[in-house]
Amino acid sequence: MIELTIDGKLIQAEKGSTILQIAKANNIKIPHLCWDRRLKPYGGCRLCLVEVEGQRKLLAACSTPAENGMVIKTDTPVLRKARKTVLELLLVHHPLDCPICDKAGECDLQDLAYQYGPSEGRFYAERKHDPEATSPLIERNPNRCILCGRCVRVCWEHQGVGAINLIGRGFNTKISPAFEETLDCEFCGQCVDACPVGALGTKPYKYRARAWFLESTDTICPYCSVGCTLTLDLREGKILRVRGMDGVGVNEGDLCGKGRFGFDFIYSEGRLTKPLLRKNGEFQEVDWEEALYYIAERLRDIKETHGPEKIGAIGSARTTLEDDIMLARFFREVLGSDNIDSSARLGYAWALKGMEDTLGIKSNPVSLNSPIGKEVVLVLESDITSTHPIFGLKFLEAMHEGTEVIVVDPRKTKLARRGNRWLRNRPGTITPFLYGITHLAMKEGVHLKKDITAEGLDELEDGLREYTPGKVSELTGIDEDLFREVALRFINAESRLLTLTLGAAENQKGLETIHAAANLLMLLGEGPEALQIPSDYSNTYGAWLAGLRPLSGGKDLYGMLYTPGSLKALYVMGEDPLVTMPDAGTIEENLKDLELLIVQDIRLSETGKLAHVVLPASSWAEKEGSFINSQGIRQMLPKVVSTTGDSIADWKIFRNIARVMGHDLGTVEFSQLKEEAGKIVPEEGTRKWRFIPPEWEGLARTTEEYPILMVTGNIMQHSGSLSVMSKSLSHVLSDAFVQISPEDAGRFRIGDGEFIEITSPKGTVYIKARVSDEIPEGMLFVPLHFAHARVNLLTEVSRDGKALLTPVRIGPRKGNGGSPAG
Amino acid sequence: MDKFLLRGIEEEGSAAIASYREKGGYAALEKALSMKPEEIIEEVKRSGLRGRGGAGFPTGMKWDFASRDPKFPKYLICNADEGEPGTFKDRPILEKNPHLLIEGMIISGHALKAEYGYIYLRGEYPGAKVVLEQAIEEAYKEGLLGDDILGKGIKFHLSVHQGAGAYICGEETALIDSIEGRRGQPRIKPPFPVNVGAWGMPTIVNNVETLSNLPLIVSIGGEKYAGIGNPECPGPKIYSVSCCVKKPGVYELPMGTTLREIIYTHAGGIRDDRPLKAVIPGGISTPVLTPDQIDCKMDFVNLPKVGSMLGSGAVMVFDDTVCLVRVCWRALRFFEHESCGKCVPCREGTGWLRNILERIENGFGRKGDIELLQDVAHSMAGKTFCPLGDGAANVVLSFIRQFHDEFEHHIEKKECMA
Amino acid sequence: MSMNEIVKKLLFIEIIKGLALTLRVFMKGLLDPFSEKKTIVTRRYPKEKRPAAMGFRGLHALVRNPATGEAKCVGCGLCAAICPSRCIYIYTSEGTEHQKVVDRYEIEVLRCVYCAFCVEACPYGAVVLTPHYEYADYSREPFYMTKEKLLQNWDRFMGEKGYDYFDSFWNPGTGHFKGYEGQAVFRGKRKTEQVDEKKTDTGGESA
Repeated sequence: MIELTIDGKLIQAEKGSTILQIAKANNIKIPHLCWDRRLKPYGGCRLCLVEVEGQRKLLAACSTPAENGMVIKTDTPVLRKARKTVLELLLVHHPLDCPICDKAGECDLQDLAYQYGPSEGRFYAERKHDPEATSPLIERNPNRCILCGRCVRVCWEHQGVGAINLIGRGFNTKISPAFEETLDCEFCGQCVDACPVGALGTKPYKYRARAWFLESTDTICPYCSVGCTLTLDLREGKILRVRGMDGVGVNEGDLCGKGRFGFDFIYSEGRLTKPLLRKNGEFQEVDWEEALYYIAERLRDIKETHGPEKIGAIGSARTTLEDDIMLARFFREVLGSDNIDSSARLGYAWALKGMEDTLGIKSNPVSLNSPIGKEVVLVLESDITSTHPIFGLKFLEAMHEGTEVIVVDPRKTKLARRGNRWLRNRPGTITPFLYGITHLAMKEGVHLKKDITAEGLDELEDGLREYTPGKVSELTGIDEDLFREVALRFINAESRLLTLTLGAAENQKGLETIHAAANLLMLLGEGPEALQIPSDYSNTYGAWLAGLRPLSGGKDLYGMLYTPGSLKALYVMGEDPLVTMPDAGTIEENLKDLELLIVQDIRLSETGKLAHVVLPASSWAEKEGSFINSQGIRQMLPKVVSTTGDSIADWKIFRNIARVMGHDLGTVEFSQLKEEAGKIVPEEGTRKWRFIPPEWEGLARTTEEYPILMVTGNIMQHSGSLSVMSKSLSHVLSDAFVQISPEDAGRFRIGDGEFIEITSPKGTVYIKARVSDEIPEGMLFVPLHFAHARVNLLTEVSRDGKALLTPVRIGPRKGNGGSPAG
Repeated sequence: MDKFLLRGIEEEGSAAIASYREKGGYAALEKALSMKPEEIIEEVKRSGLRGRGGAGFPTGMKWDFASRDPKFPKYLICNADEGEPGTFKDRPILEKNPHLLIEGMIISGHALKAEYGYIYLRGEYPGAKVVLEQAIEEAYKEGLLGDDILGKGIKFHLSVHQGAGAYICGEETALIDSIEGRRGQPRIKPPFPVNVGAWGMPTIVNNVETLSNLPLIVSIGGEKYAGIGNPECPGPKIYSVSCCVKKPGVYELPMGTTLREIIYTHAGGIRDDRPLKAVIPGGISTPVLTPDQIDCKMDFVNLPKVGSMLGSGAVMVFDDTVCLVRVCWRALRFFEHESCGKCVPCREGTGWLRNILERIENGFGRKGDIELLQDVAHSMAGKTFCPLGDGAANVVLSFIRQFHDEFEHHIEKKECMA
Repeated sequence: MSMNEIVKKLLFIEIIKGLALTLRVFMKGLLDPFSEKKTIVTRRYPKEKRPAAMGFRGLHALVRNPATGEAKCVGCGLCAAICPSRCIYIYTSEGTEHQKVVDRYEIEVLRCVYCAFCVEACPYGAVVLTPHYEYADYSREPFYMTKEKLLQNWDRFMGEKGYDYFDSFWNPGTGHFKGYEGQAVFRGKRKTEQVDEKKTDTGGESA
């Protein structure tokens, strides 16, 4: 601790912090333009100059570390003069188009000009007239730029992208993408929030409203499970833009492109406004009463004829906790059926099972700051910066603070590019990679240093005997010496972290991967906090906890969707199994056999098109509720906008059906549900550790006929099938594509942007190819978001939770094949 | 005094290693390699050598900071980016006597336990690049560079990195950024490069002339070296004299030679024997001196007493035919062009100073322009990120201070006094 | 009470003075009914209208830019921000050439308090209160001013004299806010001629 005086105030502060940080913490205002909490000090704007007693020169508060006994003055005539001149010089070239600029009213330069600036300048010159540079979502106006470099630094230092940089020198400096091309980046929009003036803005908000017309409300992002706080700016009940507020929420102001631009899915033209009832094979808009009576009658019928065990429900990973509770209550209490499940079954459930098998815990919430301060972090075949972007940023942050981030991934993901080390393995071989490290740890006798009481150690040792570094190198395609080096680095580190994602959309990792990871960590004496597996979507974890899973022997997702004839009626809430779940062909057949398919969603989904009744539900911003994020934190969502058409909140729909069915669920009010949701606590496990012997079934099943492995997953700009509804996000990426390596493209004579035919034992689809060096030879990467691509026709479902890569063969599209999804 | 730095450069083929060895080259290296690194640093401290790049920081002290940093590897960078108008003192060493620099760098590398050295060469010296690369190749061939220098088990590798023509890269942190492959912009200090420099490692950046003094210090010993020239900042110094003198060129003289001696004795006096009007003693960024101040000794101690600086020792002499407003304007044009654009006062301020000077020079000056110039320059001096902005401001302030009349004449009469 | 005042009171001086004025006016009207200088005190209002003084705050109008024929308003929203009764609504969007387009500019006249803050706040002199004051009506509808109606108001009630109004009545007038010629426009490339200082330098530091 040090003691210093700022403006006559005696202040105690941490050693090593800068003057500006201390002043900020103590509510002393020092003006600044180029400083940002998340970035290294830059010292470019020279507005934060302060006087320090005993120093001849003025010091920049942002970059000068405070020292014990400093006497600092932040507002003296000399400083005012210096600041005034800086602002005067900036304003000479800054266009005075505040009446048009969208930043007016919340512009740092404007505020400072009011505070210090001269009303009349002493210099007159031609101002800049560079043309604006537009891109799908981010609009750059170089004339307004004051070259503080915040966007450049946020993009490179914080976001790890480096899409823009300062070009040129001195007064001719410009901020521009390489070679002044159009901006083509991941469109996170962090630069827009960083810009202190109006040089960067978001396209959807451009010229829509003035800052003082807006009302702000905080809510939680509906996309991934990080659960970022979004600050919505509304005008007259319509969301115009989303911002991240510095220091607010778990994200502390960081947002990804989905959160920032993806909110407009609620204004999509495809939103359902009225219930649809299938009459003579065609959908007809009906009123709620008719739809509810129809559902009540049909459900009662089926229950009476076939019994409640023939009725099932699939919940959503994106509806609120309150909706989920109501679905569970409706099924268990009104219908008496335990056939309830959600998409978590395909991914996160296996992660939970894996951890229960080994570490004996029934839940393992992640901690966003877990990578920071660790010595080594191993990222296993997971593109965390795409699936959980804000969690991904923490890995970069940790790296800046000295953590060694090692990425093992066949794809050249952002973390692979930016991490300290990247090992390119063959797709789906992360499990033997972990076996190899475990084997090495045993051989090096690391486990002997720890007191291991868990059972199954001998079996594990036996099973791992064959996974020598040589063998692992052969399986994974990683150089043996490199593997050994990385493995030993991980084993011998002081503190370590393993992280992977296990989403429903990913098929290269499975239960055995979790077992292998847990085995390794237990052997090294690490607890569950060293294994970070975030859940998929905003409320995946919440849905699991709220009981959207069979609790007393009901059918699970596999039993409902993939077993022919297991059900007569199915209720699907906010989920689109035909697009997001593997082996869509089988699902489609089974759904067609149903006597009653009810789909409750915000739009007419692919599954909805097969339904007998489609009910319009309110979207995330149109109802109150709460999400449980992957950290296990329950965060409340306020009702922000009015509902679309006749749609109503999901929980109200269940309440109404129950009423129509004459069943008394008691008084159901939101406050009650909220209270009930508040009582949910994660289950504890036995915490008894147990090693699971290796169970990996060998290299994935390529054959001569199907020589290429297809990996499915999520990409940066999209999440599940929801984001496709967003106009803004679709501006960036609206068409399905498959990434293919340059080698394979050459081999199969496929050009960039051409349609190719992908055939698996299950079927054939046609998708546009993107040749990319992000992908190694022998692999395809397909995002699953786009309904029209029907990629899931090709995949298979893995009933035991093991990774199941899809072997395919590819070729140019023959003749005029057309898209079968049509 | 015998020349050391520029010894024998008039001879044909002076850049070859054989020619250098004839002059007794690489003898100091052998002596140095038998010494302990600490001993060399001690010797340098004793010699009182001060950095020749412009700031005059004691080299021994800088080395001491760097050698105390426990991080490895360390890097030694030779700053050969002399881009300041009027300065051409390093060029004869680089082009005619490169082995002296290489020898100096090997000795420094040994003293600092640095295993890699870079010569950051000015982009506009393509000739020097060829010479240096050839000299380095020769040195490698003779085992003077490499993993095992002269069989003493000492490792030092050296390579030339050519800049891309930015004056700012002569600033040590910008130079390091440039070597790392980034945009050449100065970094925040502290941490200083001696602790956190290239790739985050301790890095010592020294001027060509500084490093070239090393063989002399090692061969004659620090104490004897301290006897050359002014005892407060001893050693030989290269003065580059240009503009209105009879014999412009580089002169190696002991530190502390008076300005009068340099101009009238060595450079042969003023061209056409006209009266002297002004002298810039140390490169364009140092404050200008009037004729009555030229009895000042040219070193790091005495020049500040008359309100100027030694800088790089580039003496620019102006006779009465020279318009000083024009000189000032040309200087600012240079600074405006070379400002990196990182900090506002320098990026915008240099442009404005140039703009106002331009209108004064072209006869469009107005009343109050001098005050405006002073005001802008005061707002820059000491408030910019790096010394470039200070330099630009000081030029304007010193010119106005010393030659106020000439500026006023320009504004009022719309014509030049000269 | 001074002596003088007592005398005045006793002699009815003030009353006589008043009666004298009445008589004078009466005689004047009687003798010279067609005089230019006649001072008619009573106005026959609906038929004869009193001209409004400069700066009278009547019905609102949007200024038409004589160069383009469109509204001068750029949609900066300062009028809406300053409006104490919050009766101005502005909706803008991006036009085809990436310019800012004012889609709707609406004033709820019934809520207006005629403070003319909007006129003062406008940096472009684009909104004005016209001298027109007769707009009583039977429904609320006509009092909801749209952009088109406001522009019509300008044509009907201000027109040419409106430009004069801004120049001579408002101080500081719009002219005072004008930049110099070299000032950047928001969009479009100007001819890159060498613009030397057009305006005289104020010099010195005002602080």
